[in-house]
Amino acid sequence: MSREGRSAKRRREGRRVFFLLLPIMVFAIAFIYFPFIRTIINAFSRVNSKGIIKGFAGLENFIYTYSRKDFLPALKHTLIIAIFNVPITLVITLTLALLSQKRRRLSAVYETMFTLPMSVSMSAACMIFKSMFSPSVGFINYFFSLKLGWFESTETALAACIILTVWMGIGFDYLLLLSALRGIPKSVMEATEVDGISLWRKIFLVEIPLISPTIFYIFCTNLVLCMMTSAPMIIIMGVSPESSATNTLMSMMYQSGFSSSDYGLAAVLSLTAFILTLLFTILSFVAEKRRVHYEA
Amino acid sequence: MASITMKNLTKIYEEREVGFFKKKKEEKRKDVVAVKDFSMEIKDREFVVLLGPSGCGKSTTLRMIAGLEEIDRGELYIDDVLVNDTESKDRDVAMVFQNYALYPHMTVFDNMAFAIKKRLKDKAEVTRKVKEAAEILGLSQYLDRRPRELSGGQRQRVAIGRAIVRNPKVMLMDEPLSNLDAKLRNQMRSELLKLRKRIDATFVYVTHDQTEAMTLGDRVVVMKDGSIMQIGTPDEIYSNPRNIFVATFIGNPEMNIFPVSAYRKDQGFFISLFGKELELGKEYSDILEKRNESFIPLKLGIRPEYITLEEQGLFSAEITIAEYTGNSVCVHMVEDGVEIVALEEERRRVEKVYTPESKIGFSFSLSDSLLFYSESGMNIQFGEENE
Repeated sequence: MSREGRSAKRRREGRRVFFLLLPIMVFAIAFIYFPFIRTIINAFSRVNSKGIIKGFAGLENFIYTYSRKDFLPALKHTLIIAIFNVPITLVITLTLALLSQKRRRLSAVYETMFTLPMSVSMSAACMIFKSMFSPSVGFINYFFSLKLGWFESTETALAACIILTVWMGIGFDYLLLLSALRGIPKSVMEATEVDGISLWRKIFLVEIPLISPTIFYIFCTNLVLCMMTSAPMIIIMGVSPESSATNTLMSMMYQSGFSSSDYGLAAVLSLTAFILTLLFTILSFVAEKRRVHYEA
Repeated sequence: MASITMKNLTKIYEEREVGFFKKKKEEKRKDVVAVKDFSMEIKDREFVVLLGPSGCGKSTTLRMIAGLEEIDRGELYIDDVLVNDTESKDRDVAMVFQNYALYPHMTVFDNMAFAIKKRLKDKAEVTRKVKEAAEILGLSQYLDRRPRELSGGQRQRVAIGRAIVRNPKVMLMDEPLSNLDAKLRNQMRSELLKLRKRIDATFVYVTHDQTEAMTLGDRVVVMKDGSIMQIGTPDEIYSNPRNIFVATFIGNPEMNIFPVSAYRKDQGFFISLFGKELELGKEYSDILEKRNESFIPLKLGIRPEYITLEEQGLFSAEITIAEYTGNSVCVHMVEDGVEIVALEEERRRVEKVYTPESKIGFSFSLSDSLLFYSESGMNIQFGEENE
């Protein structure tokens, strides 16, 4: 083939690739990259209540945000949710997956039971939990013979929120871990059987290391989700100055952006959450190098 | 030290329909008999090979000995102790799997040490045992590597090492060489032969490769459809197969099988083959005599290497193809619509040219051939019961 022919072919190929990528590129630019860059710009600009940029603000927005007295509590709540939610979810889902990994007659029944939370929308779940945790008619107080006003103090409200987010996450994570466990080559488990490896060593020294990539994936995605927690706060507590007792970075962002139209504050909060999440993810990737085993 | 006795071992798989949309009721339950009445005694330190085509139940039998498969019927004794309900780990067996089944996240050392670490409290003893096994298997310089950094042959050695460090009574091997390429397989086969002498265990080895079976086994068990076809030394199986299945399964190229009929004539028995009448020897006619029939449908089996190609042969046929392999030539011929395969192994004969579509003479001696009953497929020397 001549040189011209080859380059014409390459051009045609390039055009085809461009058109194939176009739809997802439009989507990504409109909904991910543009808002992301706009947020960064907003954070360093003076933005009026209509969302129009009125000039460069330097670090003004950052100083304003970080010196607010509701910022640190919001950050603390976010971190608390992440610190509790991530390990609790992993322990629960891993236990469920280990218990149900063997295919039995009733497998389909409890697999459905454990994955059911997946089919409930966040807002519906919030309403269900709100009524369950209700001090007067709530099932939780009744069952455990408590007299707690769950959403009256920060601690109990956060606890309720952690329980809710853990419950919401169980279904999907369980499914991932279950399929990872079932994906371990049968002969490897049979080898442990013949070699007389005890149950605990089998779980901790064989099964968990072998599904560590999945565990790591769940760890990272859950961490990101926790850093972004806002729906329970907004839906259960509502958006009001009083609700700041349980604010997270994202619910505070929602409040400032959508109810008080303080776009500078909202942008700084989003950016802060983003940078923290990025930092945690980088840290986990560093840890991953040593702990997570990938099959070649 | 470790004999294995199997009495009527049977494994039945119940095929259950899974899912919401069950098929018609009568299709719902189909029992598949994977192993049927498997009985044999394996002596201490014997090397027994289970051989058969895929799906013949050889692996299932091995897995029943390993304790990975429940025994539905029959009895399994290891050292005269009934172990039907004994868990795998308490049977003192080790197993080498076809796909190695190594722990991919552990080093070679840990893979080999994993099973004995808990049992032997002494760390130095564990290290000594692993190093010793690694030495035997030529793995000493790979102890720090992970399985993915090893070649197929090395991985299989690690799997064997993991089994031998345990010093088990019974060593089970499930097609351990079938994932390796041909050259490596030959090499590992001879290594296994050497290894065998150094290990104090009873071996049960599953394979579909007849060369492995013939070279490694003290005795070979040929299986088909879950049943034992024949148990015997490699030589017995080769030279005196019990039925047509064993006769054709063992040997490459396959044994020629010609349909013939035996008839009584002048105090003796004759068969007619390709238009020639041949008298059967006394050893055959004595057996046929007992049947008290004048006309018996039979099948005559002759191994390709016993057929001599010569100009003045007793029979003649037309060559269809000739396959040269260097040190031998496999000549395919046809006569009366029956295919005949001959194997010439001598160098000077190989140098002859066998032109397709030309006529060639061939002959063989009846004393080299075997006779089977047409109906049951049984070698007439073994009696007449069905397969």
